[in-house]
Amino acid sequence: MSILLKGFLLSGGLISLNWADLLIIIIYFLIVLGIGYYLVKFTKTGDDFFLAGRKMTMWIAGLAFISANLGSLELMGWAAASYQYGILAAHWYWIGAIPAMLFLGIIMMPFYYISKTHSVPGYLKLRFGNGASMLSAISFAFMTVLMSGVNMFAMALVMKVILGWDLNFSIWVSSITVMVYVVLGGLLSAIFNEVLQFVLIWAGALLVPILGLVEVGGWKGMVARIHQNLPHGDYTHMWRTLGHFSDNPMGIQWMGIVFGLGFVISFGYWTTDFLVVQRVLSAKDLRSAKMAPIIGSGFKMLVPLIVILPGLIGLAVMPGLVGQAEAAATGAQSYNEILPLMMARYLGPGLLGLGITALIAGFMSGMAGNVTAFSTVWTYDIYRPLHFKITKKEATDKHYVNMGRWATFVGVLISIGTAYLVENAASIMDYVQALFSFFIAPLFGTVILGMLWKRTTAAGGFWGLLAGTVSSVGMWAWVRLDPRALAIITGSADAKAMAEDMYRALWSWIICVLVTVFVSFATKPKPESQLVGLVRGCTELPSDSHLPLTKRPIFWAGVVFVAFIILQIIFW
Amino acid sequence: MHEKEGFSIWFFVGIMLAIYGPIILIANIPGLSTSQNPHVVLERLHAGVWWGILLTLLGALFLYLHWPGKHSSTLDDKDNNILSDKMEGKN
Repeated sequence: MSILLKGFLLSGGLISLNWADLLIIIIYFLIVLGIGYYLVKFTKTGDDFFLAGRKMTMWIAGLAFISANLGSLELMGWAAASYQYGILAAHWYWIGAIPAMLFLGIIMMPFYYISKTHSVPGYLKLRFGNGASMLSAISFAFMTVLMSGVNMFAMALVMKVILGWDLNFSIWVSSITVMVYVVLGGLLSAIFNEVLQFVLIWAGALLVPILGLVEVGGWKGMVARIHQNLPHGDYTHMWRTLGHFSDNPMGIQWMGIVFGLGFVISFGYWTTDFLVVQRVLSAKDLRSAKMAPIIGSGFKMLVPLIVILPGLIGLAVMPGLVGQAEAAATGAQSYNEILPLMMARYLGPGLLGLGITALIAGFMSGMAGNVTAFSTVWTYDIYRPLHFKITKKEATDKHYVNMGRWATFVGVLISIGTAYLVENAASIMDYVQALFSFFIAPLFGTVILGMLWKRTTAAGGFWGLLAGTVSSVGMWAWVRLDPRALAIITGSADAKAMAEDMYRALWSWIICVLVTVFVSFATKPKPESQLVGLVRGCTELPSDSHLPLTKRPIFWAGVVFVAFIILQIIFW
Repeated sequence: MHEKEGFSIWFFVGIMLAIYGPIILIANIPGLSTSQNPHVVLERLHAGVWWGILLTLLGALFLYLHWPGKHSSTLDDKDNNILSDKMEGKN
């Protein structure tokens, strides 16, 4: 108890909390542990533990889908990016998410769901066999658990800077809490807490943009103040500055945003990253599974209100914040902490605790997302085939549930180890984050060809995925060894780091697709009878034509897409 | 999760809001008479009081709608009603 109090009450941060703030934080921890304890009785079979019993309604699956991505680093990172780059950061919430989420719901989800797979590597196994599946499963499991550690360290660092909390205290208390509730309740527990976190984030963060807009005199007042503070740049338009790399603070142009972000990166992440897809697989029927990403996309469109807008208001009312390196050298405040700084500016007692709890909850649910995805992929896609190969027999369902619990335990321990590794060598953080991006774009190429083109062969899937991943790593290393390579990859000498990510993703996807197509034509495809339920054209998809229009997923996808287009026009 | 199998997730949301709302309200009541946090911009609007009341009311509403054993008018039931329209064909 004394360690707990010491951890909480260490001062020296930017913000100090009072009794109400601390009480709110402590109650949050008690509630999530209580939920884990309560849900253990509902988690008996493998389907219960790894897929939440496939009983979730579309609203719960949809909110969990969006919340798994809405981690605290996501919130703080994009608030900081909007301070740095202006409203361009909103592209990651709109064109960088909405079309891909709608595509997942309408086009891809039927195949994931009908195939009864428990994971994305599981789908690859059904479609391409063990090679591509194992490659994808090992890279995903390895990177997921490392990413979890990196995020954990970053969050602990934020808590140290903002609140003065001890690093060890933040890492161990939050990790053990996540471990306990995931080991007890599996994905069900993670989903419950993700929905709770979603409500908490809105309750804790919505007042910041409301009060911020009151202070600056509404949207027009905010834009006028930004122009006054930064007369030499356009920070409030989304598309009109994307004609050329040098016209905007991000150093990118429209092709990179539309094809790199809007197509490859976005579709890669939202349709093949098992961390988010797992939430949708928990839906109770196909219609719920199709609707969940569509509902998620509706909420995703609103997130800039609590992430991008506070960053923009920060540009208006707190000019002069600097980057992390400059802040460390000069002692000035960094825009990386703009979101908590804005919370401290507008939120009084209790409200500040709610805002900080929202950040902690975001971190914990992000970590829970990582470890649940890790334990599923480890148990079903890595351990199970190995177990079968060695023993020549299938283990019991209970055996796999126990393995899932152990994988959760070990996954959290590896995450903690990674966090300490990062503490001692900060550059590892950049490498791990870059590594994760290597797998996403090519994986999308492999999955989408496998799903939509029946001629794709197992060899094509494996070699395409490998070639795409290797080329992505190669391009990344090339730029590190020779920075002039950036101009070759992006096609412009004015391109900056953000453009590199977009174009690297685009090229690696193209290489993956070309290699897959080429190898597929050179190898023998599976007979169509073996592709039923896996590939478009070989699968009779269930029809929803008997449902009224307002109950059809395609109708709501259309509504969301129209709203998305309107937002682009408004903020053009 | 459905009530038949346990507490609705919205019940837990209700508990959380019904606890947080009053804490925030009580913490901000002293600020109604005298300035307690001069560093907070727009303190005169007493956002904490209004937000505390709003969260309390929302929490009470969620608890009322999703109290264990209560079946009608719950969001889960409504969801399930919408969602149970099975699609024709496979699955």
